[in-house]
Amino acid sequence: MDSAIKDRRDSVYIEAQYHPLYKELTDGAEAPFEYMKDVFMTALLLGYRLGKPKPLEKRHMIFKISAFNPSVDLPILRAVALGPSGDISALTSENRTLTLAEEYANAGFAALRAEVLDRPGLTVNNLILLLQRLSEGEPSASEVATTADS
Amino acid sequence: MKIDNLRLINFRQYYGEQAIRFAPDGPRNVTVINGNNGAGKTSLFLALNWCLYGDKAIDTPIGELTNKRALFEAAPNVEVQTQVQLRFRHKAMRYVATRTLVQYKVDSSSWKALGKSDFVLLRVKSGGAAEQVANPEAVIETLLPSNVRSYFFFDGEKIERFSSPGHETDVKEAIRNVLQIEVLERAKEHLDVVAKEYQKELKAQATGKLQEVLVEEERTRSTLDQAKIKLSGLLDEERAAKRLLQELEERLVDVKAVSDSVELRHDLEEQQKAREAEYEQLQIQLRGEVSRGYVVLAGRVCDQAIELLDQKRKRGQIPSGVREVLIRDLLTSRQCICGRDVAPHSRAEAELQSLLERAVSSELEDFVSQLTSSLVAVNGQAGRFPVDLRNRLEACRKTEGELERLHDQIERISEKLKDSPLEQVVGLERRRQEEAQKREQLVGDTAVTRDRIERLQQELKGLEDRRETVKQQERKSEAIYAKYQLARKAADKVESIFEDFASSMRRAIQTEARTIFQSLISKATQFSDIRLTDDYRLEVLDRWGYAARLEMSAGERQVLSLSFIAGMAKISGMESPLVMDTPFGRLYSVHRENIVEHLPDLTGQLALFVQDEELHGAARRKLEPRIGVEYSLEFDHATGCTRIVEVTQ
Repeated sequence: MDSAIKDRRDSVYIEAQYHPLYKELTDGAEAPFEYMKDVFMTALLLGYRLGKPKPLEKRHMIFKISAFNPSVDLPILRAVALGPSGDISALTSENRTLTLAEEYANAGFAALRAEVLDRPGLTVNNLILLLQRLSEGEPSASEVATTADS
Repeated sequence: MKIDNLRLINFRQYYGEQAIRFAPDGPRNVTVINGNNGAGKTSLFLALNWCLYGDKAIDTPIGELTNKRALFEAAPNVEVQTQVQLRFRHKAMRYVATRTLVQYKVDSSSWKALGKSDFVLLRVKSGGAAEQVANPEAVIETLLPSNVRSYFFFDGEKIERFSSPGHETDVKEAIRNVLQIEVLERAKEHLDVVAKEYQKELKAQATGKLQEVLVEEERTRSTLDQAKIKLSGLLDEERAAKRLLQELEERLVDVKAVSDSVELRHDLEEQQKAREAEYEQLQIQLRGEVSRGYVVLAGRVCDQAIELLDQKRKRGQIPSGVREVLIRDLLTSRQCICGRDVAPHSRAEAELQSLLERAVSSELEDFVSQLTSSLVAVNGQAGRFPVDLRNRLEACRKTEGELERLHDQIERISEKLKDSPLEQVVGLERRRQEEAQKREQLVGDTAVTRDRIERLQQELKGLEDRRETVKQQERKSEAIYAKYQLARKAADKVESIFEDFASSMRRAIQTEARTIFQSLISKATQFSDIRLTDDYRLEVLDRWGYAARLEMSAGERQVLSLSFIAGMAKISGMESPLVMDTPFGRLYSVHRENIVEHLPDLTGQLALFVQDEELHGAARRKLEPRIGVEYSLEFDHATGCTRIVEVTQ
């Protein structure tokens, strides 16, 4: 299956200014996330809901591609790359897939920060509430964006 | 070391020349020396130590080593020789160690030693020829170091200190010395000193950025060392507080009126610990699930992708109907499947090229089909997430409730004890609560200090990396820098080896000592097992698995200590006879019988200095088949001297 993929890459990047926050979300037993990769995927999916990818201004390498779970994360990344257009050729370029993922994650990180870090209370509880809310109510992308902006 | 023979000349109450041969290793490896108090058992013991280690091994003034009768009989200014000679074997070599002290009589009531004692060590070859060994004291130190001799030549009644509370330092010291762990410790310290010296020199030579980094590194390392010392102190205090808490608890249990409540509280506290461990596990699992909870946000994008791919399939775009491989084959062979030629730049060729552009490779087709099934699986996982999360949160809440309930029950018992009509109970409980608070504070401080140490170590790592980078830019001081790096890495490596080695040795000694203890202790006793803890406490466990040192009798502690010493000797591989002075004084008959039955098997040679009434009855009968040589020390009250008489069997 992997022989179909071209333009390979080995690293994933985030906006440099967000790196300290990624660390805050993963450091210590009280942190809500175990791995940087999990922060990235959550931000990516929040960003996809907003619908507007945001290019990186200053790149910072955050983890290697091997950190992704091949049976969960990679299919999600490819589904995002396929996007509304359904262009199958987008799936064959790893660089294109990852770049798009990085831009969605960049866009979604502000929402993640607002929901988890900037709310009062334990960050893990804030994350649980966010996931429960989104899985049960599934608000629209604009509703999530409004929460992020408030 | 296996002792063949001990010869004394005018040593303490042994007038003239007298000798003892020791039973060799084998089925009859026990030497018994009988003597009442004052007969000269301790002097024989001293003779052994003095011969090998000189004046530092004994606390008797030199002048009193020489037999008084020999001094009395000597004319003025005539030399009187005091000598102890030990013949022994070590790893197929035979040795003769002789220590001699010469004194001369000044007048009828005083005498003077001619210098210090003289020590000669000969190596005897087969055939009888002997060569003197250079540096005899150093050689003896390698055969049986002076700092471990007290674990092989010892007073049976004093060894119980290893199993007495508060003697963890003695136990740790014994293990360090017998297993020569101190060699590693010294290596570690020495390398650390060397690394620091090189660092100073480097700092003096370095300029600019490198010097800044070195200064900061030195400062951080010094702060780290201080933090480690602080941590060690806190851990010692914590251990002492824990011991004191245990003792207070045991004293409370002893008060009949409240023992049930105290034991109930103990049980509740054990349950609380178990629930806390469970809760911690649940929290870890919860965190893992929540961290991966983003799958629940992937529903929309997965559904969208599945829908798109399905539509493409229905439209015949996947598979495309046009196989890439086939088209390429046709272009290469320049012939269509209908048989028509495909000439270069012809219309047929152009048609085939355009088909190629539309073709989807077979790998991509497989890739797309697998993607669909993966996305379906992701959706399945997303569907299960809310239920799994709810269940996990419910389990956490339930455990929290149980913990609260246990906490309340424990508090109620503690309050009841504080309000007890018995003053003793009130005092003990108050003290216990103070100590518990103090310990909690210490646990907190320890955690903070550990965290600080971790951060300092990370800081140090960062500085080391920076130093490397800066060094790349500075060409000077390369030789010093290389030496510094080598010393630093070696010191760090030895430290980690030391920790691992000390830990594995402790565990090996525990296993060995346990086997020996179970063979020596009376079966009727309530003690089932022993333990050598991480902080070098020698503990015995009762049949319920609780530490029970305080209930042990002196005799039982002696058995415990003996098990530890024998275990340690076995693990160290150090070959030495066990020489015990008054081994059975405080032991009751069952222990005595167990020891005489098993002890000869724990060592190559065993020498027992016993009082007449120590070894009799069943114990005597059990030991008989193992006795190789036996002596009696006969003290003559008229002369004040002792004669060594062999007891023939």
